[in-house]
Amino acid sequence: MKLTRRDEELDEEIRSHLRMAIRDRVERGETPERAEAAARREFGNVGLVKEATRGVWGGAWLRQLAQDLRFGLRMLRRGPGFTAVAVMTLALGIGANTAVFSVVNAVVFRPLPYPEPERIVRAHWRWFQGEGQSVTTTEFAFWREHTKSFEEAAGVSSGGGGFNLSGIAEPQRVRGLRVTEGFFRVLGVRPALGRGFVPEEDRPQGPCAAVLTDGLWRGAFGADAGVVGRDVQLNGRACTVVGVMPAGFEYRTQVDVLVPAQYRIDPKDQGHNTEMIARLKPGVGLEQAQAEADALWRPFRDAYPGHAGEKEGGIRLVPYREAIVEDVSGTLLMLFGAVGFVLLIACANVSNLLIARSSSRAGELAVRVALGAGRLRIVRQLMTESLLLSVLGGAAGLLLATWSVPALLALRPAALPRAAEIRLDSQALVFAVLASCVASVLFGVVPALSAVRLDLNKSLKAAGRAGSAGAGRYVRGLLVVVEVALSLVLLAGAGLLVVSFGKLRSVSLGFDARNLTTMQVSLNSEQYRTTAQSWELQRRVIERIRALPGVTAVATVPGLPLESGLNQNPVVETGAGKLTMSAEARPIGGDYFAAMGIDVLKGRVFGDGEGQPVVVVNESFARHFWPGRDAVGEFVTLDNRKWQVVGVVADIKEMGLGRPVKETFYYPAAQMSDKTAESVGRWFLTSWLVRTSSPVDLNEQLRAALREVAPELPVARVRPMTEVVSTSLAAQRFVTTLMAAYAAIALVLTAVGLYGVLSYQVSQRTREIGVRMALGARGREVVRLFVGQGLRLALAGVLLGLVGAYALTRLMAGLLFGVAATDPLVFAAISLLLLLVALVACLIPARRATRIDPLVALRYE
Amino acid sequence: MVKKTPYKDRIELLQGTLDLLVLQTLQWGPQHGYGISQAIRANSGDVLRVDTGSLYPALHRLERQGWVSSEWGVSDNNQRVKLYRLTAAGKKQLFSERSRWEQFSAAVSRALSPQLELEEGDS
Repeated sequence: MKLTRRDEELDEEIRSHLRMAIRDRVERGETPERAEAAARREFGNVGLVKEATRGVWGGAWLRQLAQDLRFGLRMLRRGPGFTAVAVMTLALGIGANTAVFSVVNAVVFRPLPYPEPERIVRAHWRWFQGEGQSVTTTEFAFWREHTKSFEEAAGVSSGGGGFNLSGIAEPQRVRGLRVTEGFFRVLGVRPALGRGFVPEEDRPQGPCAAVLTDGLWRGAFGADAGVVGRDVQLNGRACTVVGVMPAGFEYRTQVDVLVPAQYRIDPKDQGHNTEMIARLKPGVGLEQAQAEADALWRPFRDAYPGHAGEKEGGIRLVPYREAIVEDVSGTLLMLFGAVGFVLLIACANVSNLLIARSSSRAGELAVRVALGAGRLRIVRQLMTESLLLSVLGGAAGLLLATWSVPALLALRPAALPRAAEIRLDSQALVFAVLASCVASVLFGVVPALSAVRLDLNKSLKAAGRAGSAGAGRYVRGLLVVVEVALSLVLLAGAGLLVVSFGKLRSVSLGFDARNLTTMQVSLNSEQYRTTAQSWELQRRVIERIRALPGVTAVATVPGLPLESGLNQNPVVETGAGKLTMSAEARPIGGDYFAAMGIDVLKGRVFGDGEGQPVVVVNESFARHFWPGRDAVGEFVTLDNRKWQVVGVVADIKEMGLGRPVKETFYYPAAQMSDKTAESVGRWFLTSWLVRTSSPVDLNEQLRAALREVAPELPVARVRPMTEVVSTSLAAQRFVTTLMAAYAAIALVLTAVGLYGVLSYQVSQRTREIGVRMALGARGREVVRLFVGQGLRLALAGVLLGLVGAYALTRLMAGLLFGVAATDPLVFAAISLLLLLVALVACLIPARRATRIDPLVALRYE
Repeated sequence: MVKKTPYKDRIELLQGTLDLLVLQTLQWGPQHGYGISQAIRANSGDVLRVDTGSLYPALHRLERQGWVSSEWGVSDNNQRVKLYRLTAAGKKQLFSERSRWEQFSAAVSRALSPQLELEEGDS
């Protein structure tokens, strides 16, 4: 350490004090030697006096910190192996936490990127079958007009699979939203260039206007400031660009272009396809707005006789942020908790390493205390070393996070809202720094305190020989128990998810996804408004595809199983009278059941040439409306026509693999009403389903078949059905993969921790083992001694962990399918796995103990 | 850390008391640390022994507070020593500390006085 002038003066001051004291004693007649010894004894610990005196100088804190840091760095350099292991362990913990934090923060915590976002609400529709996240255009118009709590309300509808943008250098498919003109005022975001929509543009048959987002404006228009007023074509319709949104504008998922919704308010249109958002007036609370909205239900029912029989209904206002993240926030917070466990395990591990090291540093510490270091000073020194470690770990962790955030994004389910806002930003940086500091306290405090509790005399005498910290051993054992317990909780969570995922994957779909290819196209265009127009196109494409070699069956359907489907409200004549219920409606073309591989259970199915109004229902439909009776021959009323049931087919899991089957009815697409055809064209992609006799890549042939019939229609996508099935499990896969990864990390860290503790004990007890072996103990007994010790710790941890897991896994019950949150088989299996890993981690050092040569061991220091 | 052996005949000084004694000692003229400790010891009839671990921090603290100043000088036997001198502010401080101490000790004496009178009566 560099001495300052002040330090030198203090030294001299103390030296002169001692000189004078010695002189006085000599003058009183003592021998010089005795005088010096007595004077020194009387003076006390020179180092301590100096330290205490320096303590009253200003800036002592900073100076000591610099000193501690220098010393700490030297210590870390001296043990590169220890440092590397500790830093890597911490980097794993901090990196994983920072990465997950940046996801959770962006999606769940960060306020929405709109001014006063807390005033934005979404309206959910309540009705007797539950609650839906969207409303009909009629409902939207009614509540928008009458709710005085709304400063502004807007309807948002998906672009129905996107738009074909042409009239520019390179035509392309863009993602679009249809929004009412109030959209910009609800969000509080104005276009950076030009303007939003005016009421004239938002009327049915109004002129088409388009507002571009910044990304599309830069990408397709070269950031041309003169773009406003330019004409382009969207889905073949001429549109004028009227504005460009500011950079960074997003609406949940990425958007390229906004067009006016131009809702035709038709009470007969019962499709709940409009997302209704509203901005509350300043000072209006949610309860107040809700009360007002509730009061509007009766007037609404009176105004629209279609709702006459319904007792309850109306809208429920949900804070917008909550509305868009409520599905995912629980899962994300669970992952955040899980990754927090990983950090705790990492801390326990480093703590263990530090205790092992500090007991071998007992000699050094004792010398420092003897030379005048205060106890607090030692603790501070050790804590500074911990802080250094965690800062290094945090830096490495940040590096790890920069790699893992893109990996997380790649793995994320497409439906994750606000994903575009996920990035490693300054908040994540702050989080990493905080996590490092908290970690350093977590793993540093126990070793530091147990280090200074050591007995000075004993340690000085034992200096050189590795220290004997009985308390340290106890604490280390405790740390291992905690580590094992935490790992068990993580493993239980991961195990349950893996089992559940396996069950989901083995769910019988009811249809055959193999050798089935899908092509999706948007028919949202003036040329395909009527049933005749739309069906003609579908039929001609079906015919072309049917002619392809290897194709055994072709069909069409609006939407796609596992992704989206049409709802209609048929009136069903049951034995107990007429019943109306929302059911899944599938206007299908071609050989749908053959193409999908759905079993026909009763009666017959229909073909494209079917002249009569007939329907086929699924088992659930038949069971729900005609329990114990034959459905074939019964009638349903739809679009004011009577349809006869001619067949019953098997249920298929098209609402999701883990979800119950809904009542579904199928009818010929050619017989769909024009009104239905129009809304299908607007809201759904039309899908062609193509079954082949063997796995073949049909991508080019399918696109060609469509091109030949309708060259102007862009293909949205061509995918094998297996991919559709796999995508439907994306959310579960995401959670399961992450949990499994965390559990694996936890398992490895715990094994390393156990291994560390036992190796250390073996090295500490080398002499004892030598004596035992010299006295005739066999290798097996020595192994049993150490393995027994390790397994006792592991077993205690497992028991503690089982209690924790029992309490915690029920929080994830909602994520599980086909397995209880406290499944005893899973719990037993992971306990065994953990004990097995513990056994291996103990065996290695224990076997090393048996190779100790008694002669060498007895001479060991 | 070394355990302190208890000194039965020694009185541990409170921080404020030590400050007062140091300032009082310096009233008679500049003095070095060793001299101050010897003076306190001698003036208290060998009862008060000043721990160097308290004395030097106290001196440096008083200097920071501006109640004493220090300079390097030469001792009686020609040694370079650091001499502490009472400042004007220190004199004021000494005055107020002393009156506070007198109030304090008078109050303590009063609180203990019944017993003292009893003892006096016995003798």
